[in-house]
Amino acid sequence: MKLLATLRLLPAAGYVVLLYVFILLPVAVLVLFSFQDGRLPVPPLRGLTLRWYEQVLTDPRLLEALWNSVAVAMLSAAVATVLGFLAAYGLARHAPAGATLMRWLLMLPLSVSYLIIGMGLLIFMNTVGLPKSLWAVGIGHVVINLPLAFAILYSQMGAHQATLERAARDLGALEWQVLLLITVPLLWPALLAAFFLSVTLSWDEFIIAFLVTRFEVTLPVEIWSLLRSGLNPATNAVGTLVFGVSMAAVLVLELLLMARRRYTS
Amino acid sequence: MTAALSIQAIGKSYGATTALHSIELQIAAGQYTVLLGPSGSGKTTLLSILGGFIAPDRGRVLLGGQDITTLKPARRPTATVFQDYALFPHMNVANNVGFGLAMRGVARRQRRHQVEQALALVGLSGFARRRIHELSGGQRQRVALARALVLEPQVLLLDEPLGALDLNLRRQMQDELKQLQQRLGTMFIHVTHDQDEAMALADLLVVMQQGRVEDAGTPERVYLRPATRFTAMFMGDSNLLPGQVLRQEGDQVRVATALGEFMLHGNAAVHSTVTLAIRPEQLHLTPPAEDALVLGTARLGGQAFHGTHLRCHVLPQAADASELLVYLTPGSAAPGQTVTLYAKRRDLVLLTD
Repeated sequence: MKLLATLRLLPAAGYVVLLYVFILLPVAVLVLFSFQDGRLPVPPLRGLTLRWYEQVLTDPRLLEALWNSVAVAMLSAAVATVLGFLAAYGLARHAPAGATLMRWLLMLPLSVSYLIIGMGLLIFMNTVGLPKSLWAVGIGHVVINLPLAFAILYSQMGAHQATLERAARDLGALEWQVLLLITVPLLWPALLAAFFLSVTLSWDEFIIAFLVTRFEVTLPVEIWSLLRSGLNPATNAVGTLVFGVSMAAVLVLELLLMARRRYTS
Repeated sequence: MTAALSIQAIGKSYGATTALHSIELQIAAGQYTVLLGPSGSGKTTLLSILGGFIAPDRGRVLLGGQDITTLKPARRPTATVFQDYALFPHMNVANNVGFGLAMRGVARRQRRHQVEQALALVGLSGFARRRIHELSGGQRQRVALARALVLEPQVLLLDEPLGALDLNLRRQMQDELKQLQQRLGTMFIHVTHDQDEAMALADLLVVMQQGRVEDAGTPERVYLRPATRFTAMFMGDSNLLPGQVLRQEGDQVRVATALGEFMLHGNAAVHSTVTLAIRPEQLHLTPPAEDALVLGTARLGGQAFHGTHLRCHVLPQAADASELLVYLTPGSAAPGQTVTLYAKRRDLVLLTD
C-alpha cells in the first residue's frame, strides 16, 4: 500500500526535479565554472582555483562599479521605501478624493518596461540638459521600486493598526508621533521587506543603468562591457558574486517575514 | 472634576443611510451610562462622536457647558477603551499605560509613579514590565482601562469592553467596572449589546434602535415600564397584548384585549390601537394580594428549565388570544394543566407606539 502511494507520487516528484534543474542548472554551471582552472568557462572542468576571484576583487574598475551599485541600491531603496510608506499611509488612512486614481497611478510604472522608463529618463535629461550619472540611475530605480514598496506597505495597513493609531491619537499623540511611535514600529518587517526587495531589484538592474550612465557605471553595466571582450572564468566569478549578494538580500527578507509571522501569531 | 454631558440634536448620515437621527440626551455628572442596542442601532457611532473620532453632521456636544463637538480626540477630556483594547503590541505594560502621559510631556519619574498608581487601581501591580502578548484577555482589559484612566479623563468611553471575555470573567469585570466607577466618580459611557450587562452596570440605561433613542432611564424603570414596544421586546422576555382603546376616564383608559377589558393608568386616543406589555414573571397562577386582575384560563404548554425558574408557554382559552410566556417556580405546574392567569393591574404597561 505504502509503496503504491510512493509510486504514484513519482511523476510529480520527477516534474519538480526537472523544474528546479531547468531553473537552477544555468546558475549552478555559472558558479561551478567560476572556479575553473583554465582559460575558458566551459567543460571539461580542469580543476578548482580561486584565481579568478582574486583577479576580480583586485580589479579597480570592477570594485568601483561594485561600490557604485551598492550606493545606488541602498539610496534608491531607502527613498522608494520612505515614499512608498508615506503614500501607503496617506491613501490607507485618509482616503482622499481620487484615492483609487492615485493608487492606480502609483502602480502604473509596474506595467511599463524598464527600457521605456530608461529611454524616457534619458530623453528627459537630454531635454533639460542634465548629464548622465549615477544619480539618474538612482532616480530610475526609485521609479521602478516605488510601486513595489507601496504595494507591500499598503497591504500591511490593516484595520487593527488603524485602531492602534486611533488609540494613540486619543491618548494625545500628534500626527508625526503616531507615525514614528506606532505605525513605523508596527510595520518594521514590511518596511525592511520593501527595502530589501528594492535593493535586490536595483542591484542587478541593467537596462536603465546602461542607458543613463557614461563614465561611472554600476556593476551590471561593467559586467556587460567585460562580456564584450569574450567569456572567461572572471565573468563567472563576478556573476557568482552578484548572485550571492542577491541571495543574501532575499534570505534576510525571508527571515524577516518569518519573524513577522512569529510576532503576529 | 466631573461635569454633566449634554448631547443636543446630534445627527449623522452616511450617504443615503442615516446612522443617527437627532439624538438628545442629558447625562448627569458621575453617572454610569450604558448605550444598549442591537448592531446597527447607532450606539457605537454615538460613542465615536463623543470620543471625537467621527464628526457629526448636525448638533452639539456640551461637557460642563463647554462645546466640545469639534475638538480633536487628543484635546478632549475624554478617553476611550477600545473594543479590542488597542494595546500597543510593541510596548510593555508600563509604556502602554504611560503613553498618554508621555504625549503630555509628563517627566519620566512622575510618569512611573502615576503608571504604578493606575496599575494598582486595576489590580495589576507588578505587571509593568510584562509584554502585551503575555497577558490574558482580562489582564489586557485592565491595562486598557489603566491606560485611559491614568489621564484622569472627565468622561471614560468604553466600546463593548467586555465582548471578548468569557461569561464568568465578564461578570467579574462588570462588578469591578462598577466599583471603579463609583470610587472615581468619573462619568463612564459604555456601549454594549448585552442586556444583562447593561442592567447590571447602568445608572442611566439608554436603549437605541435604528439611530434613535428608544428609551432612557434607570434600568428598573426601563425594564419594568418600557416606553416603547421595541424596548419591551429587547429587554428580555415580554408579553405583548394588542388592544383597542374604548374610552378615556380622567387619567385612566379602558382597553379591550383578547383577554378582557382593563382599566389602566395612562393616556391614549379613543379607538386607537395600543399594546399592553407585561413581563413573564409578572403573570401568576394564584391571585395576588392586591390590585389583582384576572386574565382568564389557559392551558400550560411546553416548558424549559432555567435554574431559578421554568420558562413556560401558555395558551389562553379566550378566542383570538395568542400564546403567552410565564415564568413559574420549578415543580409548580405540569404541562397540559389548565390554570387561571392573574396579574397586578399596575404591572401592565400601556404602549401607544
